[in-house]
This record gives sequence, structure tokens and C-alpha cells, in this order.
Amino acid sequence: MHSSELTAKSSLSSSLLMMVIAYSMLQASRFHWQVDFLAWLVKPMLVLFTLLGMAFVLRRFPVLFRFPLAWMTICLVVAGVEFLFRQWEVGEPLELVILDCFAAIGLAAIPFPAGLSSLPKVISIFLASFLFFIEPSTTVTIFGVVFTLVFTHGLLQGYWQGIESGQIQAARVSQRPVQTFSLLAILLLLIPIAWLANQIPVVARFQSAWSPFSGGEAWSDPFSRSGVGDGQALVAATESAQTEGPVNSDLFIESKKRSLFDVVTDEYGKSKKFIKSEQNRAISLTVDKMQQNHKRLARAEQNSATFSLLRESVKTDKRPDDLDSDALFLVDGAGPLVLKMECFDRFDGMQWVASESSNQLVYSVSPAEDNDWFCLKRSLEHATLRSFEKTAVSFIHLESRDIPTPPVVEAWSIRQVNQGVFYRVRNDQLSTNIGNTLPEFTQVSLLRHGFVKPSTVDVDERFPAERPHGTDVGWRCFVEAAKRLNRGVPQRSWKRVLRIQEYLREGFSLRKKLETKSSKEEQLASPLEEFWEKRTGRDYHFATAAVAMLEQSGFSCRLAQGFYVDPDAYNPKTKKTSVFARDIHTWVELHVGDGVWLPIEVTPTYLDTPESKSWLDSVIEFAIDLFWWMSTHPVATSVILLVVVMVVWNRQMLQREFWWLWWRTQMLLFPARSVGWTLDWCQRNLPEDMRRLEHEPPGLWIQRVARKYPKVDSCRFDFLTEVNTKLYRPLIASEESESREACEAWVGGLRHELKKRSDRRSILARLSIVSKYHPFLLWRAVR
Amino acid sequence: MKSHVTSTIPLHGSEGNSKSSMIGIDLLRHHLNRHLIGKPDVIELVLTCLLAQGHLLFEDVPGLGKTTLAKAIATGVRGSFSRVQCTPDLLPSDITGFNLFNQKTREFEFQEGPVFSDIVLTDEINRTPPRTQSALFEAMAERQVTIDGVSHSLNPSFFVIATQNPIESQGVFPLPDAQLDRFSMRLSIGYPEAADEVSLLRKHLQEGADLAQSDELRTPMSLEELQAIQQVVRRIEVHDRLLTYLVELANASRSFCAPEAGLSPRANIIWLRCAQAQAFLNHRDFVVPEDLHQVAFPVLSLRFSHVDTDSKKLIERILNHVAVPTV
Repeated sequence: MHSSELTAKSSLSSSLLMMVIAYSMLQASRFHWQVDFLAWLVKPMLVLFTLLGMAFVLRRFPVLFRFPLAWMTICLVVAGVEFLFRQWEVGEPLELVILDCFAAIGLAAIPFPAGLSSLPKVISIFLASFLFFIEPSTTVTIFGVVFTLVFTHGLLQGYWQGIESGQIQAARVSQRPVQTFSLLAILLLLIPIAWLANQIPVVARFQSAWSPFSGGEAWSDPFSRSGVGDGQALVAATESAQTEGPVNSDLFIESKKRSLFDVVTDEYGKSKKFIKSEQNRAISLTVDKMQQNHKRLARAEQNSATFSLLRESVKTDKRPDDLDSDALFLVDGAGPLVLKMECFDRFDGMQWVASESSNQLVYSVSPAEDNDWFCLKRSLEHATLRSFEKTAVSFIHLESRDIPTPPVVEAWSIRQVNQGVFYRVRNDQLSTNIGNTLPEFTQVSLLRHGFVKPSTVDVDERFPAERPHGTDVGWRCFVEAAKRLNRGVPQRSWKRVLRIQEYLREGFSLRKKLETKSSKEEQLASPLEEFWEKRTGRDYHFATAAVAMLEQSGFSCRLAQGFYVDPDAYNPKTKKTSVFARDIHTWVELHVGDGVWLPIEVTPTYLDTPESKSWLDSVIEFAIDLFWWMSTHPVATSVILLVVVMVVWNRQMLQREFWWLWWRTQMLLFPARSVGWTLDWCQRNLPEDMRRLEHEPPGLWIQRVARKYPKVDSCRFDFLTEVNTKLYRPLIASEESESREACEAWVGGLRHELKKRSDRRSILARLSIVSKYHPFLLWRAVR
Repeated sequence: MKSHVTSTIPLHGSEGNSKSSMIGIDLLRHHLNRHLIGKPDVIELVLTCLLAQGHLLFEDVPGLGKTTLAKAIATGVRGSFSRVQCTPDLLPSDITGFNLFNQKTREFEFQEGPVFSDIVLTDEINRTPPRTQSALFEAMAERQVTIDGVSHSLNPSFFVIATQNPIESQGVFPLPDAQLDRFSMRLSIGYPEAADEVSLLRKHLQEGADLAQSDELRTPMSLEELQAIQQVVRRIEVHDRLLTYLVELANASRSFCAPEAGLSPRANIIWLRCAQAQAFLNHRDFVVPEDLHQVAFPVLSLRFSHVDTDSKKLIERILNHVAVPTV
């Protein structure tokens, strides 16, 4: 047999094992402790058991071994398992994994250059770390695929070649499969290690600094939000860059213009009674912008519908019980999460003004044909990552004419969002008679990797350090305070940011409620001046003051507004967090270079860092999730339990069948190694006293075995000839069929002998025992 | 696709010759078994030693068939046979030969000694003093003798069968280690079984004459054929891992006893040659570990004869210490 032919065959054979490894590895790369643990754990197990089941079939119909279609069938079985899991809504869709498996088979047919045998090992060391210590992403997945293909292919290929050339002399026959699978186990073991290491602040910081992304995705990661951006600023950001915190209520900017709050909570088109205490609620979206982006709203205005400045308080008693129906939108996963809507970069003394260039839309919205859904056309030039994954889009159909929604709300999530998952909230109690003039949806685009990086914009020109802010007294007060704080601290030092943050968080308090101004003097005072004097204010005041102080310190910064997702609002049952209008929040963003804006939280009582979960909490949460999943999927749970019971019950038989499959596969595709694998099989299955001693020549050992098992005596000489030829003849040149037949005949006789002696209880008998006690089967019997 | 594996021995690259050589060996085996009845194992080892171009040391009491066997070998291959009965007054020149002054031609003429025969039986070799024993050093190792500065080549199929009596301790000169190392094997024929002994007697009664003479007309093979087979045996293939295995065994022997008492490289070579011959006799063209194990005791016991411990146990310990190489 030509070496290239042999190599190609080796590759094809290794593809089977590679498929299992690829499956597990990619599952591992998408590992989420709470969400995907079941999928990660159960799916590879099912695939493995499926392979074992196929071993039974292939034993009955050995002719299947001769057809490559048999291997493709295995792939299809894996795909079937995947399909079932998707039906059970466990884990993420893994079409990519299936495709990887097929691609692996194709790629495996390419002979791997022997000179590059060390390359897979080097790549594996790097990519294994890369894979397990950073957040899952498209890029990581691609790396994972490459890693899996190169590593497993190269490893196995080099291994086979080593066997064929007789180079691996140190490796014992009995250890070969163990080595392969133990390697896999070690790699998989990195996952809990990485997860545990993530609980250590130093390690987490290291990961954040090392990661080219935003520093981890797990919500249990206390530093996951550090270094928002493209990763270049991660080192500077570290642990003090946490900005998110829960927002209690209300809006943030005091104005008489129309606010988002108005849009969301007020009745549209109706005059409202003016409530003085809530008069000065803020604005987040202007009418002009709404007209630009929302045709229906524009038509409403053309129909002389006016927007009132007056409003009523939200009548919660009229709301349905389902809280989600009151939400603007749902976010998949838990907070803390910033959903940024708009940025402002100039303060005119009374309020912030947004520049056109700073609020570029990344997406344009176009309605699909007669469809409830809207398609997002993504602008590639703004894409942070060239991802082939679909952007996750959530549509919440509030289905109420009473709740007009803003035309465009853009939000970016750091959390991973299930791709392609669409969810809607229906509420039959609300009006389903949707008028043409009313907007009926809220659209939130959730990017998998969050923050859009305007890399094409020259930051310095757009955001000069000295911007034409208004000459507000309060502004000047904070500027002077910043000067005092910055004494002795280097220019643009991160310590300045920390000092300012500490100054605001400790020297000022958050005002829970809006206060009615009592005197004319006070009414004449600017909001910022009042904030300075009273030392209390809203998050808007804190953010504005922080901008004044940070700009004085030499930083370019801006005000950002949007929603903040409270981590406490996370519903573990639905795995979603409701975002309400009261979650509007204001914060400051610091320009750290290259168009990257780093959110800074300066408002006190807000969480400076996300609440980190303890190890015990995670375990408890996982147990709750597991129990919830089991309670909602009784059939799947029963099947899994049945499988587990069966596996435990028949573990010895499964182990034997697995090794048989392993041996049989090697026998078929690699006749040159048939003798070695047969010896290996015998070493595993023979009784202890019949196994070959290390110093025992194979020929003498075979004679010894044949004396005990007369069945194998007839083909002993053929097998012995094969053994001697394969192991000790310097130039291996064998007739494949003869080799295979000799091995098969000998081992077949051996199996027959062993089965007669040891395997007295048949599978059927064991099944009857199980059926006697298993409730599901009992139930069937009763029916 | 490479050629089909055959288990027969390629002789001169011809399958026909291969078969004829194996037939010749079978005939020779049968021939020797006829002369030494009831000792097929010994015959196999003798054949192994003969094909490996080694030399044989029989350690046995008199009358067990050593001379008969030596003569049978000589007649079996149509080779010349000579016997040296070693005595304390035997001189080296009695074995190697000497230069005799010819009065007529007034020149020295070389008179060949018994070593110039194909098969040489040196009976009771331990009765002759060491200086006479040493006369065989060069002959056994290099297949030549040097007398008065002139080297004389011996026959290519030169084969020494020496015997010594193990039970006598007086008036004997134990063979030095250097002499022992030149032998390939040490064998003991031992007494035959009762049934074999009966058939031996019956055969003697029937034929009543020297068996060797009656066999001259049906010689199994010629001397040239034997030499050709010996060349084939030298070409029996040995895998690298077996060579490594052999070296590991030698290292083990050096670690278990004194380094100077361990196996020498020459002993390794002899062991390997014997294993090659054993593989040939098993109809194989490559050596397997069993071949090494099968000849281990006759080859190694000779070299551990001066070790205090039981040589058999020592050999077992060495073989059990080193793992047999498998893939």
C-alpha cells in the first residue's frame, strides 16, 4: 500500500474520533455555567452512546464497515441528536458543529505533512488557552474550529504515522486509546478550571487584560464589564471601570420637551392633566428624530396629533399582572447591562445637546413584506466584528395603542444573546385593535459583542478637549474642584478618574425624588449649580459634573443615556430581564482612544461593580435551573434517566462494546495495525492470568492463550504469523485481507470463549429487571 | 502494492532453491535423528549452531553419542572429519599442525593438523593443558591458524565440537573464559529415554555396522550447500527494535552480575547468529523474540558458568527483566 493511500485512510479513520472531539470542544467553547451545562454535558454523552449503539448495529451487519456511507450515517445521527435537543430547547443551536464534523471528514482526507507534526501541538497549546479563557464569539468559534481540525487531525495523524513507522516504541498498546481520550478529558477539564479561576480577581483581571474583547462574558464575572470597547483600553480600565448600577426610577434630565417617558407611558394624542411634580421630566428622543425614523409617528403628526407636555402617572392598577407586558423590551440573560440610546457631547448650561455625528445609526430599519418582523440591514463599515451570525433581534409586541414606542432604540449588550431567538410578549388584556397610526412595536437590536466602535471617525476633531460648553456657574465649580483634586497627579492619569469618581460618589448623594423649587432664586439657579450647592441630585447631575471634572483633567468625555438593566430584575425561569422605562439612566463615557468610549459610573448608591456570585450561589442557581428544566421537560428527563440507568447497569458491557468498536474500526481501515490493536483488545478483555506479560514474546503468549481456549487454536498459527510479521519484520508489506481475516478469526474465537464463560446475564434479562422498577415502564404496563 | 509476504526462506532469490535448501535441512535433521535417537531438541540446537557457523561444547559423561553425532554431521554434509583426543601431554602443534623439514627438498613443509578438517571433534578438551586449549583460539574465532608467522586458512565450514566431562575434577584444566566465549553453545545430550534406548539397541543389532559408513551413499547435502545455507542465515533480517532488545538484555546481564562477567559484544553477536539460524529453521526470514528466547539458555549458560549464582535462574531473571518490544 502506498504511503499516501495509507495516510488518507488514516485520516478518514481519525475523523470519527475527531468528530466527537470537535463536538465536545465546540460545546466547551460555548460553555455557560448556568445555561449550557446540560447541553454541554449531555450532548456529547448522547453522541457517545449513539456511537456505541451503532457498534451493535455494525456488529450485526459488518458489511456496513465497507461503505463510507456508514460514517456519514454517524454524522447524521449526531445531527439527529442535535435536532432533538433543539426541540427540547436545551443549549444553543449547533449547526456549525455539525458542519464542522463534515468539514473535518473532508479535511481529514488531506494527508498531513509529516514535517509539520509538531505544529498541531504548538497551535493546540495556544488555541486551547485562547478558547477557554475568553468569551465566546464568532471569532472564537472560528478559532475553535481551526483548532479542533488542526489539533485533532494533526495529533491523530502524527500518531498513526508514528505507529506505522514504528517510532512510538514507548507507547504501550493498552494505553493508546486511553491517551487519546485522556487528552480530551484534560482539555475539557480546563473549563471548570477556567470558571473557577475566573472567581479569583487577579486571574479575572489578567483575563480581562489579555482578552482582545471586552473581558469575559459571564455575568458572574465581576470584571466582565471592564474595558468596554475593542480591548485596547482594557489594561487601563481594569476593575475600576465598572459603571452600571440599578436605576430606581424616573428620568434624568429636566426639560419641558417631550421625553421618552412621555412617549412610553402617556396616552398618545390625548391631553393630559399637568402634574407639577413631574413637570420637569426629561427628554431622550426628540420629535424630529422620531419623525425621521418612524413613519407612523410622522403620519400621526401630520394628522394633527399633538404631543402633550402633560402626563399622568402610570396607573399600575390598570396594568396586567404580567410585568413583561409593561416592559419596553426584554433582554436575554441577566444584567448589569447598558442599553445605550443616545450620546451628548455639549452642555449649553441648561441641558445637553447631541451632535449629529455622535449618534450615527448603525442599523437601518426596513419592514419585511407583510410580516410582523423587521429586518435589520447591517452596515458592514460599522461592524466591530465580521460575524456570520445573525444579529439577535427582539421584538416585543405590546399590541396596545396606548403605548406608543420610540421609533428607534438601539441597545448594545455585552451579554451573549441567543442568536436567532425571537420572542414576543402577548397580552390579550390589552387592545388588539392596532390602528394604522400607532406604532406597535419596540425594536431593540442586541449585538453579540456589544459596543460599536466608530473607528473611521477622527476622535480628536470631533471631541476636542475644550468644547464650547456653556458658562454655567455650577460647571465652573466642578472644574475648580477637579483642579484641586488633580494636584500632584500626572496629566491624563487613570488615578485622576478614580479620584473624581470617588469625590462624586462620596461627597454627593443621590436624590430619590424630584423636589419642587421653593424660591425664585432657586428656580433661577441652573440644575448643576443647584446640585453643587445642595450636594444632592439625580444621575444626570452626577454625570454632567463628572464630564466637567474629567474634561478639566484632560479627558475627552461625553454624556450617554439609555437603559440600565437591573441584575435583580432577572427572571431565572424565563432567563430574561425586563427593561422598563424607569430604567432610564445617565452616565458618563470617557474617550480612551481610537474611538473607544469607556463607561464610568459616578452616581452613588449605584453598583460600582456588578454583583459577583459566590461559588455556592452558582451551584444553587444551577440546581434550580436543572430542577426547572427537569420539571418542564418530563419526557426528556425520563429518557435521560433511563439512559443513565441503562448505562450504569450495563457499564461493563458498554465498555466492552466500545473497545470492540474501536478495535473493529482499526481492523477495517488500518490492516497494517490490526495486529497491534488485536493484541490491545486481548489485553483488555482476557482474564488477568491470560494477559501477556511484558517480557513474554507474543508467540509464546499466543500459545499459552490457545492452550486455554481451544476455539482459537485453529487459527493460532495464522495469527502468530501475522503477529510476527507485523511486529518484527523490518519491511512491512502485508496482504491486508489475510491479516484482517487472521485477526478476526482469532479474536472471534476468543470472544466466543469469553462470552461463554463470563457474560451469563444477557441484556434482555437486565432490561426486565429495569422494567420491573422503572416508573415509566410501569406506567406503560398499567396502560 | 508490495509483494506478498511469504514465510519461506529466499535462497539466492529463487523460490526453487529456497525449497531445496529447506529440504536439505530436513534431510540433515532426519539424518542426525537417525544417529542420535530420542534427542530432537538437541539436534535442533546442533543444527542451529551449525548454521550459525558457531562451535559447540558438549558437557556430558562419556558414551552418550557425542562422537557419533559429530561423525554424523560430517557424513551428513560430506565433510572431512577429524578427532582430537585431548590428553595432558597434547601439544598445540598436534592440533594446528607444524612445519617439517624435508631432507630431500631441504625445505620446511607444512603438515596440517586436525583443525584443517571440516568437522573437528576435540574430545575431553578439559584434560589438555591451557596452552594446548589456546591453540584453538585463533582457529575458532578467525578460522585460520598462524604457524611460524604464516597464516593458514581453515575450511569455510569449520565446525568444532568439543566435549568435556563435568564429573571429574582431578587432572583437568577448566576452560578459560576466553576459550568459552568462542563457543556458541553448551549442550548436554543426557541419557535417552528407555524406549529410545531400546530402539537404539535394536537398530544397532539390525544394521550391525558403523552407521556413518552406511550413510555415505545417501548424504543429505553437500558441503557447498551447507555453506550456501549458512550465507542465507547470515542474511536473515532482524528488526531494529530486536537489536535494541538484545542490547538491553546484555546491559541487564551486566547489571545483575559483575560487569566483566556480563555478556560481551561477541556473545551478543553469537546470540544473534544463533537466533537467525533458529528463525531459518522455523521457516522464517526474520527473527522474532521467541528465537532469541529459544537459544538463550544454551548460549548464555556457557557464559555464566563461572558466576556464583545458578546460571539458569540468572538467565531467567535477565529475560524477565527486559520487556519484549511490541508496537
